[in-house]
Amino acid sequence: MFHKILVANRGEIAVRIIRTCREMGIDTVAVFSTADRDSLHAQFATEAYCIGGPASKDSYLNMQAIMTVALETGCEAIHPGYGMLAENPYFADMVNQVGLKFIGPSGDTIRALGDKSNARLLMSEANVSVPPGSNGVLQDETQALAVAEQIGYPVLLKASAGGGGRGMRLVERSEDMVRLYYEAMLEAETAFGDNSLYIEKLIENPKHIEFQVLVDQAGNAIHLGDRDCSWQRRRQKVIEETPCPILSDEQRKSMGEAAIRAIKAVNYEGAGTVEFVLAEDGNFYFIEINTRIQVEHPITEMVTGIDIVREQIRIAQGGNLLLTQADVKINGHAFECRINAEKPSDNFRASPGVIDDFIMPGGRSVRIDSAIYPGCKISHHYDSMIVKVIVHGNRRSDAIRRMRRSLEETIINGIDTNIGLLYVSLFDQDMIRGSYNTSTLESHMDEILKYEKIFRISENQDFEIITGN
Amino acid sequence: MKESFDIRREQLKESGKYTKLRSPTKKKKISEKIFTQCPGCKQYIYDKILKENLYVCPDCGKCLRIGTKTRFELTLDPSYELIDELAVFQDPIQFAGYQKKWENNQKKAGVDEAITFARGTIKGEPVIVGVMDCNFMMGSMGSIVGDRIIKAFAKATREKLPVIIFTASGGARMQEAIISLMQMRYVSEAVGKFQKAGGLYITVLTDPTTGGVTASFASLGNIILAEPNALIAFAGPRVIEETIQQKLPKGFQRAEHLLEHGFVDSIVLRKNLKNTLSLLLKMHNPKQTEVDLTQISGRFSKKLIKKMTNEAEVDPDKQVISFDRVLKARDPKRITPRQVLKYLCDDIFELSGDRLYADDPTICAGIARLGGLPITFVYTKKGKDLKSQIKLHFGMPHPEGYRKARRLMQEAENFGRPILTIIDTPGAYPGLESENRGMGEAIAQNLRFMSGLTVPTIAIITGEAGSGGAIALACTDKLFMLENAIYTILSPEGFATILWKDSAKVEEASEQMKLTAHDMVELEVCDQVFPDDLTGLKEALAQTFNELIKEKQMRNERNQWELN
Ligand SMILES: [Zn+2]
Repeated sequence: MFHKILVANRGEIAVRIIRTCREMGIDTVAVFSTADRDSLHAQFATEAYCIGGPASKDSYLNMQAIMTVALETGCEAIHPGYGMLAENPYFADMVNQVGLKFIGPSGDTIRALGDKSNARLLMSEANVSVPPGSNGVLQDETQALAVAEQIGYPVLLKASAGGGGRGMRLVERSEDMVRLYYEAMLEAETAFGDNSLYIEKLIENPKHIEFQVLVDQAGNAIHLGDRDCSWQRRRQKVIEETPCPILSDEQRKSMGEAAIRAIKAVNYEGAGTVEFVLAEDGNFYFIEINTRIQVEHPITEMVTGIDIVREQIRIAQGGNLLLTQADVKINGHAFECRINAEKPSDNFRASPGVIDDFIMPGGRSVRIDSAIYPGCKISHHYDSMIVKVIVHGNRRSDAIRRMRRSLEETIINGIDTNIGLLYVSLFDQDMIRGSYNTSTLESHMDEILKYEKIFRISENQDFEIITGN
Repeated sequence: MKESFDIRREQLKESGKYTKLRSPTKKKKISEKIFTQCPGCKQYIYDKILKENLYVCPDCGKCLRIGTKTRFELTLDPSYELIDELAVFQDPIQFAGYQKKWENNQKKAGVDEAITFARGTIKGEPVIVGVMDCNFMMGSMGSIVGDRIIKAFAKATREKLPVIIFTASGGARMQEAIISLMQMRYVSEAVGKFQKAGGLYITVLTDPTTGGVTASFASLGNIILAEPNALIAFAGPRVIEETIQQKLPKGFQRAEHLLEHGFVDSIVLRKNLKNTLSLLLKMHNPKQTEVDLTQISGRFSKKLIKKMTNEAEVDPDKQVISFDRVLKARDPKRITPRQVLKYLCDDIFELSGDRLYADDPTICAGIARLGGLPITFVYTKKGKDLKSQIKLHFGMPHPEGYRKARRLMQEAENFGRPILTIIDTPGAYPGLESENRGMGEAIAQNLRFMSGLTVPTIAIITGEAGSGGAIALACTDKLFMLENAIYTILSPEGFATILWKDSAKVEEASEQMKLTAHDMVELEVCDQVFPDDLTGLKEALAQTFNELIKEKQMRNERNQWELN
C-alpha cells in the first residue's frame, strides 16, 4: 500500500488526483512553480514544494527537481497526470529505476506506443484494423508515391515520432507528394530529431471514438465503454460524451473487443485510452493509445461509477481488477464541456488574467473539476483549460438539458472564456442528433461564433433567437 | 485564499482528523547515480537521456567527456580488437608515489594507460583508432603513451591502414619529466614516417586537448576534426592569464576559435562523427580510378533552375560587345562556383584553415566525389547579399585563402586525387593586412606549386577571373570558361585609367584588352568554352580528367623509369 504519492502536475488534474488520494487515506506531495504558489493543488496536498520558475521546462518538466522532492519526502509513487511528463518514457524509466512506482505503464511501453509507425505494426499483428497505409517507415519519396497510389488519395504523411500534427501533411494529389514529403521530413526532424515518416489514408469526416481501458499487473484487461470526442476544433476536443450516440450495439461490441486486443498486445499496465476513427462507411480504424489519464475521464466515471484514478493507484500497488467485463454497466449518459480561458471571437486568443468572480454550477448530477477560485491568476505559461463541467442524465436529452442549465449558471468574470461557444454548441442540430463528426464544429463555426457572445456582459441581445430552439 | 487554507489545515490538525500521524516517512536514499550535471549549463540530465544523446547535453549542446570504451563503441563497428601490449609500469626519474598513483588510476579509469588503440572498421572501412582518456592521469603523455603511438603507426604502415586518434590530454606527464618531453619528438617522428609512406592520419580533438599533445601528434593530422566547444590549447588558459595579467576573452582556445584561426579543418557534431569519419576514410580508399560520367547527377537545384529560366531573353540581332560580357560576368545573380560544384559533385566535405593564421571564407576547399571519383575542390565565394559580400570582401581572397588552397592541394598530391578549381573573383584583396601577410608571396608559391603537381588539374572560370588572385588558382593542366566569363590582368576600369587616364572609357578598354572566353581560346589561354547553362560541361570534365589521369600515369611511370 502506498502511503505517500507525489503528484507531478498542476491545475485541475493535480487537484483531481489529490482528492482521490485523500479519500484513500494516502498523503500527497504537490510540486509547484513560482507562478503557482497560491494555486489550489498546492493547498490541497499534504505537503507542497516549489520546484522552479513559471515556464514548464523549469518546473513541471524538470525531472531532476521532481525526483529530488519525491526522494526527500519519502514518496513511494509518482502520479504524472496528463500532459507534462505523463508520456515521457525517460521519466517513467527514471522513477522506476530509483525504486519508486510510476503510476502508468513502463517506459518501454510508452516508447513503443510513442513510435506511431511501430504502433501501427503492433496493432496489425494483433488483428486490430489500422487505416490503410505503409508498413512501417517510408524509405523515400518514391515509396511514398507508390503507397499513396495503392491506397488512393487523399493521404496523410505522418511523423513516426509525431503527435500534435507536427510533421504531418495532407497530400491530395501525387504532384504535391515530393514537396510535402520533404517538408514533413524537415519538420519532423526539427520537432522530434527523427525524420522518419509513414503514410496513412485520410479517413474523411470521421467520428473520434475512444475506449477507456484498465489493465492490471497480471494482464487482466477490461474496458469502461466508449467516449465520443468528435466535437473538436483544430484537433482539440471541446465537448465529449459517453456513450457515443450513433454506435450500434454490434459496432460497440466489436470496437470494445478490438480495444482489448490492442491493449493486450503492448504489455500494458494501468489506465489507458485506445483511440479509433469511425469512418462514414461504418468501418473503424485504430489511431493510437494514450498511456495516461485523459482529460475527459470523468464522463466515464459518471456512467460507470468507477473512480479511474483510484483504479490507477490500486493497479500500481499491484492490486488486481475487481471487475470483469461483464460487471461493467453503462448507466445513462454523460457530457463534459471544457471551459478555456480564450476569446473565440478573436481567433481563440488565449486570455490570461485574474479571475474576479467565479460561480460554479451545482445541483443533481453535476460535477465540476477545476482549480480556479475568485482572485486566482491564470498564467499564460500553462494550458488554457480551466474548468471542466461534467453532467450526467438518465437519457442523452436529459444530459444535454442539464449541461445547458449548468452553463447558464456558470459565471467567470475577469477573463474571456468559451462558455458561450459551448452553450451555443449544445443547440447545434448535429450535436442534438449526435450525427456530428470531427469537422462539424469547424464547419459550423461561423454560425456558432455569431451567437457565442451571449454570455458576455451587455452583449446578450441575440439570446432570445437561439433559445427559441 | 492561502491564509484560509492554512487556517483550515491548522483547525483540522488540531481536531486530529486531518492527518493521522503515521510513523514519519523516511527520506529515500538511492545507491545509484541517475543524474549527471552538465558542466556547460549546470542542468542535471537523466543518465539514460544523456546516453541516448551520445553524452551531449540536450539543453546546451556541450559535449561531455567520455571514457575510452564508450568512444570506441560510438566510433567503431561492433567487433573491434584492442591491439596494445600490456602496460608495464615505467618510472624513468624515480618519482615518489608515481607507481601508486598510476595503479590507482588504472582502477579508476578502467584503462591501463592514457591511450588505447584498437583495430576495427567504421561502417566497413578498416582503420586503427586510438582514444585518449582524461580519466587516466588527465590523459597525460608519458613513455607508455608515446610507445603505444609509435607502435600503432608502425602497425598501420605495415598493414596499410589509416589511423584516427581522439585526443584528450592535459599534456606531457610531469612524473616522467624530460622523458615525457622526448615523447613529443618521438611520436611526431612516427607520424611523419607514416605520412611519408602514404598513410592517412586523422585527429579528432576533444575536450580538452592541451600542452605537449597539442604540440605534437594532435596537430599533425592530414585532417584535423574537433568536437564543438572543445578546449584546444598549448599553454593552459590559467597560465596565460597569470602571465599576461589579463582575463581571456570568451571562446578563446575553443574549437570554434581555432577553426577561425586556421588550425582545425572542421567541427563535427558527435552524432555526425561516425558518418563523417567513414566518408573521409572512403574518400581516401577509392574503389575507382576514373570519373564515371553516369554517376554525375548534373542536377540543378530548383532555385537555380528558376533563376536561369527567369533570365531575360537576349535579342539575337543585337551585337554582343565585350563589355556586355563584363557586366554579365559580374552579375550577382549569375551561377556561382558553389552551384557549379554542387551540380557536378556529391559528398562535398569542406576543410578549413591554412594552419598558420586564419581560415579565409572567400576560398573554400575540400574533398568531394566527381562521378564517384574522390577529388579535391577549391572554389571562390562572393556572397549573395550585402552582409555576406562584406564578410567575403566581395570575393577577394586574403593570403590565407591561397595558403589553404595550397595546403589542401598538397594533400591531394599526397593521395593522388585530381584537383578541380572553380573561379569567380575580381582579384586578390588589396589591403594593409593582406600585404603584411605576404599576398605576393602567397600567389607566387601557388603558381610554382600548382605547376609542379603530378595529379590532374582543371580550372573552370565561371564569372570574373581577375589578375594574380585568379591565376593563383588557375595554373592547371586545362582551363575551361563559361561563355560569359572574363579573364583579365586588371579590371577594364583600371586598364582605362592607366592607359587613357579616363575610367569612363571602359567599353573601349574591354574591347581592347581581349578578355572574353572566346578571346582566351584564340590566345590559347583557355581550352574550352561552355554555355552559361553548363551544357556539355560534365561530359567534357569527365573526359578530360580521364585523359589526364591516363596521360599523367604514363608520364609518372616514365619519370620513375628515368630515375631508375
Ligand atoms: Zn548543458
